Amino acid sequence: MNFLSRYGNFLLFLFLEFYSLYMVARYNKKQNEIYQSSANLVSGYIYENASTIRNYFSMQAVADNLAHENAELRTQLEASKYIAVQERGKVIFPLDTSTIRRDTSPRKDVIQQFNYISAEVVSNSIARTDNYLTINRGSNHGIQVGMGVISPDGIVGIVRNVTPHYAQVMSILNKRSSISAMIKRNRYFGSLVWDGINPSIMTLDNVPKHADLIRGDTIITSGFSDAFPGGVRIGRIVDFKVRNGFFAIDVELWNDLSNIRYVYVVENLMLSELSQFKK
Amino acid sequence: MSNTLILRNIVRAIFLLAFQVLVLAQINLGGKSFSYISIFIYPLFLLFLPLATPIWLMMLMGFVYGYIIDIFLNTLGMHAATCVFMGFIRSGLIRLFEPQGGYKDKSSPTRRSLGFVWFLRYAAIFMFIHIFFFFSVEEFTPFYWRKIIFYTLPSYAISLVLVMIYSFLLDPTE
Repeated sequence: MNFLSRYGNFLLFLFLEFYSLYMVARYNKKQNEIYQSSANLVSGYIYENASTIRNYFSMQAVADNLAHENAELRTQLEASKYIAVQERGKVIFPLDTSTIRRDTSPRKDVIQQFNYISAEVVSNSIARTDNYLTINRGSNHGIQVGMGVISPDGIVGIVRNVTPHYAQVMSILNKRSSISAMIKRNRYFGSLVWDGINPSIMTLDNVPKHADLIRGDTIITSGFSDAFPGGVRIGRIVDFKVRNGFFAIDVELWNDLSNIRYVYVVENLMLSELSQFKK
Repeated sequence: MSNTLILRNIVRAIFLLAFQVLVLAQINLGGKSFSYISIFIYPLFLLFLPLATPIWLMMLMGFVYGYIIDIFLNTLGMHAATCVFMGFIRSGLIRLFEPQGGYKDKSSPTRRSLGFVWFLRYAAIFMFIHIFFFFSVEEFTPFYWRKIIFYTLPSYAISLVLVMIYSFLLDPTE
């Protein structure tokens, strides 16, 4: 009874009011249309949000697919090809037409040199002086020790250990890491090392003193190592000084290795041929 | 509540209903382009109900009264919703305008019993809320509140004038 005397009026009000509004929406054409369209608006809003949530859960699969597709597209880049025949070296034999066709056919001129395998980073560190990453691809996927690992914005490291499903990658942020890199503008090269202090700054060592340097110059991979194709962007020059008769150049990395997630493992298809010289 | 008080209110209800439905609803003041302008006189039934009327009774009577008007005006639910709302908030309005020393007379809040200035303020607020609420229900969406106020103002001005004329001409005492 206490409840009724306190809230009775309000409950009666709600009841009568909602019944009246129900009648308004039910029996009047204009208001009925408004009611239906706003009901659609509300349900549409709910459906849209539900699909956003569903999308969120399927995001992983979508991202995996995209990473795989990117890896395939990278293999089609010119930097991944070995150009077998050069334009000016082309020889035409007027008598042997079959040879001409074969030699100038573009498919024969270009040989695939680099393949890319997409992978996801499952563990990572940047805090120590010898940093490693673990990726979720291993020997089952064709990964071998010595392969380079790159990210969409730069280079990541080199594979050091391989298990069937995982691979351990020595990060470029490792005191033992040394990557061959060059200045894009004038092609002076050196080795890219890390001093273990700032995870966004690396040092390009052993650049000859007569090289002209400009702050902001782009640093790319040289292509001299077996691990990386040439021309992959690494970073830009922020500072340089002379050390032991060579330039030591501070390079600010394009990619942020602290939040890296998707990477591509570089497979050099001409590795066995190249490695014969090193024996 | 005396029998004459009840009888007076019933007569007033019927008179206001007939006047609203048979006369005012037939007048189209705004013409084609301002057809939304309408004159409200029937809220006076709720406005003049005795001060002692309990809220639940006000709401029930408001519902029935608004429903009958809806049937005549073919606006099912709109006037009913408005009258229920006015029944719900009127006691609050009455308390808001309570003179010092309280209401001496527990019968109807008329111009004669409480004075012209009091009655004008009371009627002005009451009628505005009523008409604004009605147009809100009619528009059926709160997003167009500018449009609702734009609709409310002309109808409100004319209706309030008519309400004041009514309070002088018929000079209700109870």
